[in-house]
Amino acid sequence: MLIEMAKVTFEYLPGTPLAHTALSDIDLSISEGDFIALVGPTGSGKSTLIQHLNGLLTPTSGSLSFRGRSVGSDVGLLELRREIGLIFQFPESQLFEHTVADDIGFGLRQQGLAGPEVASRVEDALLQVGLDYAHYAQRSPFSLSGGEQRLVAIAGVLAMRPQFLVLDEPTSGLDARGKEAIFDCLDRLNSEGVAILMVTHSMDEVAESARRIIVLNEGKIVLDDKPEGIFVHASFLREIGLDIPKAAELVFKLREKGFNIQPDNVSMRSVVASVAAAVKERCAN
Amino acid sequence: MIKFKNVSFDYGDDENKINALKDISLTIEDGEFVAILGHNGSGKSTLARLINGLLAPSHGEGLVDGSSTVDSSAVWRIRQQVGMVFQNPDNQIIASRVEEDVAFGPENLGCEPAKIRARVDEALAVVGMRELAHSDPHLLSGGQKQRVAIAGALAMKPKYLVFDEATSMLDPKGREEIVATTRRLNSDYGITIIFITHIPEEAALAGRVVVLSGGTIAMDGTPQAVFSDVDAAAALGIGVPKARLLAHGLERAGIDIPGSILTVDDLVAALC
Repeated sequence: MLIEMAKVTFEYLPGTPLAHTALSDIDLSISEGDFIALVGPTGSGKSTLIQHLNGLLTPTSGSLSFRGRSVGSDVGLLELRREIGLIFQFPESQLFEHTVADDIGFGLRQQGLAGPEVASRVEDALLQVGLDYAHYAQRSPFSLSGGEQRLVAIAGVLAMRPQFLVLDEPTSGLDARGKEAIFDCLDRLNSEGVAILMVTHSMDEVAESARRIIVLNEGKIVLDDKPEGIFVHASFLREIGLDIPKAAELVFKLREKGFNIQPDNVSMRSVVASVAAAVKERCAN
Repeated sequence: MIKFKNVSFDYGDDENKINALKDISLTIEDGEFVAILGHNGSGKSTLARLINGLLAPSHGEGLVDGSSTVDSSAVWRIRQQVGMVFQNPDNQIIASRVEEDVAFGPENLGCEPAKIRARVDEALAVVGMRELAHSDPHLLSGGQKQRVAIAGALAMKPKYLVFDEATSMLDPKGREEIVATTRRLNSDYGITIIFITHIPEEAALAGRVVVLSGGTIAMDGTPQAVFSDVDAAAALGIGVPKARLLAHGLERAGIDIPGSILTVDDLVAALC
């Protein structure tokens, strides 16, 4: 087990009139190689939860362990933060160096790594996000498009070789191509064994990429399942202010009209196939 | 009417010139709701900034109601007529109370206090934020902040409103609030809307979609026409609404469906 949260509760400003419980009683296990989407309405505790994963916040009560070792006592925060890369929303706003290579290598140099090691890790990181080293390394990050800047910012975290990558809204503000580049990168990393957890509002993206979806509402985990198991709860999701993927919405509405389609279809490809089959069956009758 | 005649715009100096817009000719009639769609770097934001004279064309001419955007005697009137709402709600709010923020524009126009009061109250009512007039803007949600920004533009009594990716930093609920508000401003108040976005579902709600690619106009037509060719849209880097993609998949699977479908409800109706 990569991460285990047990009975984690977090309260902002405890003991003051502004005290606010953001997470209550969270039990959560994350395995090596997981690809998780964390969804929930605004204010449901998503950001608070992910900040616990690399020790930016510590639980008010409850405990967190990393590979079976207790965070805080057996695992120091420095080690935790090396293993778990956290990528904030709009990470490109944190770019600052003159060249792409210097920006990606910044964290490594802070760790005291030698020049050649930094250079080879920077090259690997650019490769992982799908940017060509020769073309990008010596350019100013500020001359790049928004999508490219985001990939460079992600490369800066990948250069630390994390085992677990946590991303807050990695595709927001990007166009169709930029989104595709981010997902190609995440899929590749995941197939290389890096666990991924991403916070997102886009249910269409969730349905296509994640293998596990965790739904937070009012600081509690209300659903935790494979995508097929999540979107059958369409009315519940709408009730708490979440969308459902367009493909799942089509299945839901056609079923209401009496079409014979299994409700656990979520990806575009499987929905198209099963809707086509159901329509043909109806025409044949 | 907004009219661009052969407008080009270059960033940088002669040596490092980036040609952001190339020979754009475009007319937007009063009362239209036009979406401008394009990939990152296609020239959308440059186009927005040319409309109210924040940028001046390198070549060609931009006209708002017949006045050139570089005519120094007209530019203040043009900026009052063409309101802008930008991407990041936190960058366009300056006051510590919602109503003071909305009052900033008319104050600077030199309006009488009673007139300012009336304009602020009306603008906040239009965007549905009157009850939060005394709130601290920084405590509002993203969608609420953007509605304050819209109210600030409305208090200037504009004829045109330009939204430059004003929904891209919002959650789905905030996005819905802003889209609904823009539609109301267009249908109930007759304000011409220029809605810049990279979200195909939002563009599909407009009466007309202009697609920019590499600084030129690649397509200009109804949403049905623009999104009818899924492959062409992908090649332009804009994508199509998800429902259109589903319809396209079904078509290829041998189901007979009209090419004009843009929403799940249309698709359900076509299949039943």
